[in-house]
Amino acid sequence: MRAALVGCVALVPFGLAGCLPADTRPPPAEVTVTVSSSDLTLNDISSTLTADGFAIEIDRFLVDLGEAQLGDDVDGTCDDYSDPGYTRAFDFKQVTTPQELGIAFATGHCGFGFTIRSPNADTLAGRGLAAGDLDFMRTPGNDPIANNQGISVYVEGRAERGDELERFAWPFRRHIVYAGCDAGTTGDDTDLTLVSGEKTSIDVELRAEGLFQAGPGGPLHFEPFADADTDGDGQITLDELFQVPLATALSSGFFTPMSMPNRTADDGCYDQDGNALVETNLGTYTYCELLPQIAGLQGGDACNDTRSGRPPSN
Amino acid sequence: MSASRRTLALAAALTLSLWCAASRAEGAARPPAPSGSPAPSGSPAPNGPPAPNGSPAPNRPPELVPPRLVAGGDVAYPEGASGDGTVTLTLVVNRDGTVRSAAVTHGDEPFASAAVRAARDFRFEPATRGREAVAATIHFEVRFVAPAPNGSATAPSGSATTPNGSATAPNGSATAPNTAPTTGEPLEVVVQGERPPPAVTSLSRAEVRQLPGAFGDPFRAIDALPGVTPIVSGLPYFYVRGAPPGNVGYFLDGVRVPYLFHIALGPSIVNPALVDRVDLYSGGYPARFGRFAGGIVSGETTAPRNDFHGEGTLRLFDAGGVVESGFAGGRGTVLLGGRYSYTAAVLSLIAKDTKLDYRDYQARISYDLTPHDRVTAFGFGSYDLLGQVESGALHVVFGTEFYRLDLRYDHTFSPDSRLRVAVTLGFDQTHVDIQRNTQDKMLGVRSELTHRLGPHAVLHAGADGVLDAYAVGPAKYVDPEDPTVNALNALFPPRDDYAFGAYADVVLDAAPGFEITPGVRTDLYLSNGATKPAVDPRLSTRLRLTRTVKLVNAFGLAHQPPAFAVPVPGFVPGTLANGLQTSFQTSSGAEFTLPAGVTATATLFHNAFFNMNDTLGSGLDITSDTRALGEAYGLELYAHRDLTDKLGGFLSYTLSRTTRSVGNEKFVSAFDRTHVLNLALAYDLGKHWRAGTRFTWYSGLPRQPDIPNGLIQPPRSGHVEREPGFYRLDLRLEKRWNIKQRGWISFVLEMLNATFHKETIGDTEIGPVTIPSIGVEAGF
Repeated sequence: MRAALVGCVALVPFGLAGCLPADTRPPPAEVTVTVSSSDLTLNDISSTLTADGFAIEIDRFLVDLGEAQLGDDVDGTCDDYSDPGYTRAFDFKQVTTPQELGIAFATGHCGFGFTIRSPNADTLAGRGLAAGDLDFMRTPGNDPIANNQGISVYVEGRAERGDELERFAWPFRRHIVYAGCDAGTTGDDTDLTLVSGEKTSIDVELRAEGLFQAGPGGPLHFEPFADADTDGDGQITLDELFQVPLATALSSGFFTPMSMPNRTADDGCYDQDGNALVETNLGTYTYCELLPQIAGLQGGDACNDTRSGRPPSN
Repeated sequence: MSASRRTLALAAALTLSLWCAASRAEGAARPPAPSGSPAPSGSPAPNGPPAPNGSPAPNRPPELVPPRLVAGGDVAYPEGASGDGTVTLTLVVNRDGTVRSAAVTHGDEPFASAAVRAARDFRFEPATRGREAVAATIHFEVRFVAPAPNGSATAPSGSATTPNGSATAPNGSATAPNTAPTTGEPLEVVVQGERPPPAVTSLSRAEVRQLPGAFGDPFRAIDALPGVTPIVSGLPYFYVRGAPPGNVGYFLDGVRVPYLFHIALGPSIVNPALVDRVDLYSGGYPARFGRFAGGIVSGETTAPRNDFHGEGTLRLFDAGGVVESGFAGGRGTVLLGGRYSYTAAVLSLIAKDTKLDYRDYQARISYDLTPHDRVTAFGFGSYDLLGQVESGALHVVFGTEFYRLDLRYDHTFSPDSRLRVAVTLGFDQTHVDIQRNTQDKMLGVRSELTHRLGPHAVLHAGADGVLDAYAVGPAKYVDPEDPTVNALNALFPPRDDYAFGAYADVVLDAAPGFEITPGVRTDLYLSNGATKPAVDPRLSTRLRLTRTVKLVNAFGLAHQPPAFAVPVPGFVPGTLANGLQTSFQTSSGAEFTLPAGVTATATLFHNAFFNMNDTLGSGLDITSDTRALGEAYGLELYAHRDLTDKLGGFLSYTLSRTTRSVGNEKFVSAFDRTHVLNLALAYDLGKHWRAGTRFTWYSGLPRQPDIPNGLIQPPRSGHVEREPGFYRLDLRLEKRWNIKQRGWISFVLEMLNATFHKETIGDTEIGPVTIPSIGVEAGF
């Protein structure tokens, strides 16, 4: 040891050696994270699939997501080498084949998570994104629970029932962190066992239908949204959703509260200042209960630990 | 050597000449030759006109007292010599009384070499101006008297006593060197006050030891100086007159070093005992400094000493020391120093999987080939590691190291003419997460010449060339499409960078009391297929209005290749194709000599920056090479009384404004602070107790727009709302015991931010960053 130190000191001035130790960890597993669209996102929702007879067509479904992370290990064996610290924005209406979201490296027993957020300067434009879409999403805006925030999810479409036609175009300005995602193989939150040197993949599925679904696997509804068009102009705005008392929406009988009545910040829904968001209307209900349902692991359930609130720091 | 072959040297110091004390001493006074580089001569011409005998020099500061020899007057009669001999030396005496350099003015061998070797061990009571010790150049005669023919011990001549006569105030007599009396009266003394070039602020290590919050590190005291704006309390990186940390160059003995502090927050990478002085050039610096557009921090090591001495510290988290001794009869010296942290051992008790380690070393060997020729090898290095042990394997989170070997040849033509030729080898390496390494293997050559052109002009000139071979280890386990990874790859490509430069300036005593220094440096940069030339004219003036007031002006153009946000070894952007950074630096001020040993300065400055990459201040991604325009202007006030006095201290205040322009935006820099105030006091409590305190206060940073990063933002404006300001109080208490003649030991208790005050950054309170230090220092 002493000889090595002396030798090091003697040699380094000549550029022959350095004293820093090498990273002695073994090669990690390589995990490719992909994204894909659900069938209902790509092919629309026919009237036979909704409980209220509405047919729902999705025209645009812009989502910026990424910052995939391997971590959250519960047994202390997950060694996270590197994660893709960036996001990609897609129009999932155009994502007909799985697209790469990023590559992460780790070994051990690891959990998996990712983030839906507004784009930043590093965001890559993915499949289906039109010119100007990134700027559109990066432009700060407001809604009743967001101040000066970019757009993380934008969904545009229409719903028809008979001669009833309602259009909607909702820019959601919410930052959602998905953690502890269930990959669906064991039901365990941390069921990714990554072996040094192996290659594997995880697919994140984007589901526009999650906005109309009363819980994972639950029935699809549009009636409460249609009822929100109180001015009858055929356009359902996000502001109108915030005008509908939650009790009214619930009394229509379509939605089953998933974790009502009293959520706390620890349950994952709070405003950008970190305060618990009280769900008093259809707008907050949509933000807190429905929006997180748009993403989950392919073949697994929705990530059961979603957190949202403060805007991203970068 | 037997006592019989000993004689005593007679050393004497004479008086100040009229010319020296008045215009010469003022006009020629500059830092004495540092060990690291040939200093501007600054010493009055030996053949300069003497003052009228016995008449006091007009304009001479009456309180100026020359050095007095107090130890080391015995000089061995050289082996092989015969007969009597007389040697006249030119000695530069430091402010602490040690001899910084000794050069032969007159005398034959072997007496000359013997006199030079012995003179380095001389100890003086330093020259003083008022109550303040100053460096001095002394013409000093050593006379050898042949031993008695029978070899018996021969008493030295009756003049073989320490020439106390030199302790008296100069009487103005201009005794010619060769007409010295044999009674031990002063022979000749030419004393010069130490006066730095314009636009420089200097700190001696002796003073910094007394500055609370600096932990004895001269480099850590920089942030207390005027013009310096801290980023965060306790973090030793700073803006200098609006220039970001990456635009401030760090030099040790003229050798570029990539950073100064261990683990960013830690002690400096050079043992403080080896640092004689630190200079901060805030702008308009001398032509020998180039390739940095923001400022220069230049450290000078202590001069080689051939007596056995040493110094060490033992603190909570590290220990270090320096020892030095002579060899070959005093012709050579060898120095070894270093510091080792035992943080790893301490941390292992708290967090066994965390590895935090730092250390540094210094080694220097010098040898005098002749009294006029010296060769020196100076090696130093630093090492920092932060790691985590995971599943039994080491995960290097961050590691950095650098090493330098400087091989020098110094030749003294005359007391006012010196040449240094040096070759520097360097190795820098930084390891960041995801297994990425950056390396820089450096080869540099330089020559530095100081030559007195005449009684009123001193030339400084030099040339240098540097090759930096940058290698970037592949980041094996990262997403190849990650924009950050790609940005880093684009910013730091593997390549060979070349820089060639030449400079010259002339210190002209244009008129009594008026000094002007025109200079120019030219550089040629080649990097990554791009070639950029630069021409940097410099001009400084100093005009004495009265005995106590001088006007000082400095102007300069400075160019710099692209720089990273903060200095990190090996992290130098390869984006020269986007142009050089440029700054135009101007300052104008006054220097005041006040009663009771107080000096003060008031300086107005204006810096204009072009094509600069200040990602921190501009609020840009640090991996980008987006360039900005910038401007900084303000007022600096500085009042100072030596901290080693019974009651010493300083007041440093900066009022400034720094702006940036990117595209169509013009806004206040993210690290602009309107007011920065430092007030330090040190007091000798008696019985070797000494206490000190330092108060620091500065304005808050500009509040950033409440828009998440990454979103399209509206243009920023010049309107500023600021976060709360910050203040802290640092304390220091020392008890010292002297051991015999030369030994000493001190117990030092020190605390940075003893008030536990928190600082607000980005609307978030951080800290309190409070750093306590308990240690023992000792030396002999």
